[in-house]
Amino acid sequence: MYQNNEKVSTSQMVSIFILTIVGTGILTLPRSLAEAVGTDGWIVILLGGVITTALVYLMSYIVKKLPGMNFMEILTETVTKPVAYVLAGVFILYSLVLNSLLLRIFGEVIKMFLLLRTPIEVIMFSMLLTCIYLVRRGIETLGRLAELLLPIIILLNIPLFLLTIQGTNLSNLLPLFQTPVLDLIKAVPISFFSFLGFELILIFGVFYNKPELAPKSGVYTMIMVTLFYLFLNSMVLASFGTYQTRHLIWPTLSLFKTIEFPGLFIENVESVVMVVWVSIVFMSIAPFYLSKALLLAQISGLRNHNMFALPLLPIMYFISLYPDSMAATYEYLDIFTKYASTFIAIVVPILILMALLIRKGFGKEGKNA
Amino acid sequence: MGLFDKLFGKKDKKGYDGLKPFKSLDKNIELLKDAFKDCTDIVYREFSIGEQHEVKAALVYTDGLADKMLLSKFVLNNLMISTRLTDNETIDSTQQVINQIKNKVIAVTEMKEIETIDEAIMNILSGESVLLIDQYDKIIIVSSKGWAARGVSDPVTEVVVRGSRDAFTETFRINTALIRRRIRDARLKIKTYQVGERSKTDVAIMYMEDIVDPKVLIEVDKRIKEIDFDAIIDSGYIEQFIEDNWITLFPQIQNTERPDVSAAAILEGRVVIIVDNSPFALIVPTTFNMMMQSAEDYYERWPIASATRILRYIAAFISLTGPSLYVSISVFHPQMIPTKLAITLSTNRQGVPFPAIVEALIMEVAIEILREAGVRLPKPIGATIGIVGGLVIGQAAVEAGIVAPLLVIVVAITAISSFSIPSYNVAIGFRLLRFAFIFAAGSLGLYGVALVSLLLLVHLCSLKSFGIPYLSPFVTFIDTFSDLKDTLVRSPLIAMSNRGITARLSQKNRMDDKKQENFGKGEE
Repeated sequence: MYQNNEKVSTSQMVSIFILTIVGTGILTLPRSLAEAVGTDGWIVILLGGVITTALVYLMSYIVKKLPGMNFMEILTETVTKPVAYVLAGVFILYSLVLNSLLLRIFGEVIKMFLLLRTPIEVIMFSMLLTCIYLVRRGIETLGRLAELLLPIIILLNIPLFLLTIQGTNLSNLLPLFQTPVLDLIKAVPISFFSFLGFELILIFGVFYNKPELAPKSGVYTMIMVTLFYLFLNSMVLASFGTYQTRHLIWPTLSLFKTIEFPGLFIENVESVVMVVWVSIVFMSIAPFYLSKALLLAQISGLRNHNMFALPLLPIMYFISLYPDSMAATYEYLDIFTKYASTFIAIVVPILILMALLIRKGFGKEGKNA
Repeated sequence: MGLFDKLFGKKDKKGYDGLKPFKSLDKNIELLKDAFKDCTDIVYREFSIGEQHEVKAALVYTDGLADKMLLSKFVLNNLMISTRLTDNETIDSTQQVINQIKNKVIAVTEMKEIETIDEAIMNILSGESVLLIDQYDKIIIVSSKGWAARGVSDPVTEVVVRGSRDAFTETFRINTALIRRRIRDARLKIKTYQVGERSKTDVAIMYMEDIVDPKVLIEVDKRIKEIDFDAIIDSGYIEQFIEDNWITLFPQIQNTERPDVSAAAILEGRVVIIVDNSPFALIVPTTFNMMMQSAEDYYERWPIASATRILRYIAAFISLTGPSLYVSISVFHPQMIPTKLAITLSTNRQGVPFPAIVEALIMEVAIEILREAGVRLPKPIGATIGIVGGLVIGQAAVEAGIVAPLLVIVVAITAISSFSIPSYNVAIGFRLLRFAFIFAAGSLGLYGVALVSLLLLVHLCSLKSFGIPYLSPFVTFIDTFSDLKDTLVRSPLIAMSNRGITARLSQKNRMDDKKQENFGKGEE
């Protein structure tokens, strides 16, 4: 059979990351922002966007500097082998928990909007099985799927957003600049959560077919995601106003729920939205899943990651069932992202970069001597 | 059987490999007769040449594969009668006799000399005639292929309203000629292989030397050479041996019986594989998008063709998801559809004893059985099936209260949709997948349908045909943006200057051909 070359084009990478990032944040971002800073959410999104863009640039710079190296190799090269094992382990744990919590939220949403009487276990389990299929097909398939789905999702979303326009009131977006600067900065971690997913660049970096384009494309990705979040946040706020937004669990879905289009064959577009959303979440869970399997393979020195796909399923399944309720899930998620994500997304790349710079310094000295 | 062959078969085979013919005619004939023991279709015609019958000779051919008229008129007649009339030049050596025969006597278009017995056997079995002459240790092959063959007729599976009406036949040479007639370019190459340990089937690959992607060509060559099988009965065998993934439901190789489709594919840089005895040529590499195209798309004006293509994609979608949407909406999400329709639906389903999924499965299975019966039956009885099936499935089932009338409509539309997919082999895959969708819808509603769709997309994304992603150009959206001109819409021909993903990079443009080196093109 034809061997895959395990390379992903730049545009496919961009699609992967856009979908991965958007899938995590799309549902709750407007609510948490409205809770924290009211109408000034856009400033927080911008701040979060700038910070994450800088981080993405850092990570993709590492990828560019060490092309053709997978995450383990990068780590061993820069921060010695024992530390590499620890960091990779932490990464896997982090990805496991984050993934499972997302899965739980996903299950709750599906249960609430689509399948009222189906047990959440079945919903989550079938989702994981679908993910496993993609994980076993590998990164190349993921890249193609992302590039195929992204235009479709955009095309389906444009009419949905257009239909919501009639219910918006632009005065809901005002007043601007009401929140003190300190509160704004405190709210940045909230938007940070919505940008999670970009840290996978370090793991998927080895698959870039043109690593030299990684920084540029990474920045483009983040700009697009930021713009989308700005748009989404404004739409939700304009439709519901700050007060109402705070009390909606999933404001984005409620936004589409407001669509009424009498005379259309499909009276209730909500179900269609859910179907689209299933694919977005799938494209968010699956890359995380794949990254874990890849990392496990790298740690154990195996070339094929397929055998790690299935054993991860029960672990994720049980972690996702651990929180008692949805509120608890969000609580865990908040704490988790505050610490673990900060560590993974900020500390690790800076560590690698510093090691890289130090080594470079040594290298120069060595040359001089 | 396979094991038996391995253990004993090879040993039993007589070793003619590289065996040179003897000088003596009798010995040679004996050799051939030994090789063709119990083959009653081999004819040995022994005769003598010259006024004094001084040279003995024999003609060996396969009855039914060789053209008897040609042999008797231009070979035997000339050798036996005309040689007598020629004035006796000084013929001293056998070599001179041979030269005389080759140059002046046998009036056949193609002739060659070979030096081994096994080649002779191969040639006899392909329909050529072998001329053995006493005291001459080479064998003369007289081209005499000619057998009862079906003529070029209308394509049966790919009917078009507008477009050429010739289709490939079972004869290898006619098929290559049909393509050659459409591309008068020396850069159109035909490379021939013999595949099959026993059948020795002729297989040819046809491609434009300068447009084809060399990587694809090497891969095709490698895969055809790797085939190790006793006989190639149809191009379907070749397809299954060289395809990338043999577990999937989706064909990764296009087959066509239309020479115009093949010629167009060759000009896109693809490779056409012609197999003897099969009226279906194979085209590689193939994408899903190509499977949704029909030859006529390019002959009609572009807005019409584009609309038709979009219609086909819609049909494909319906044929996949039709019944599953019915099941999921009627069971899980009745709030999705307008209230009036939902009420009609539920009153419709009142009295139906089965759950919607069973109802849908019954109908789908029934219609698949009907279709299968209709395909295999001779035409006059086929019509009966239509009536019986239509009545039973349509009216009686509803009146008996087994199924809801709306489901009958859904199933009927689904069935018709699946027939509007141009490639039969894609349509079969879709029909099978429809059942997976029904099960998913029955257990998880729209969510199940979404999951199975995702699985299907993942699967399609993972497929490749000779190195080309199966779903391109959709999965390489940005990189091959201009390829989208020939997908959902068929842009005007004048805008389709692009050869697409299958052509090699330097030859992407169709319209620059004249500017490039005019090799082998003659005057224009």
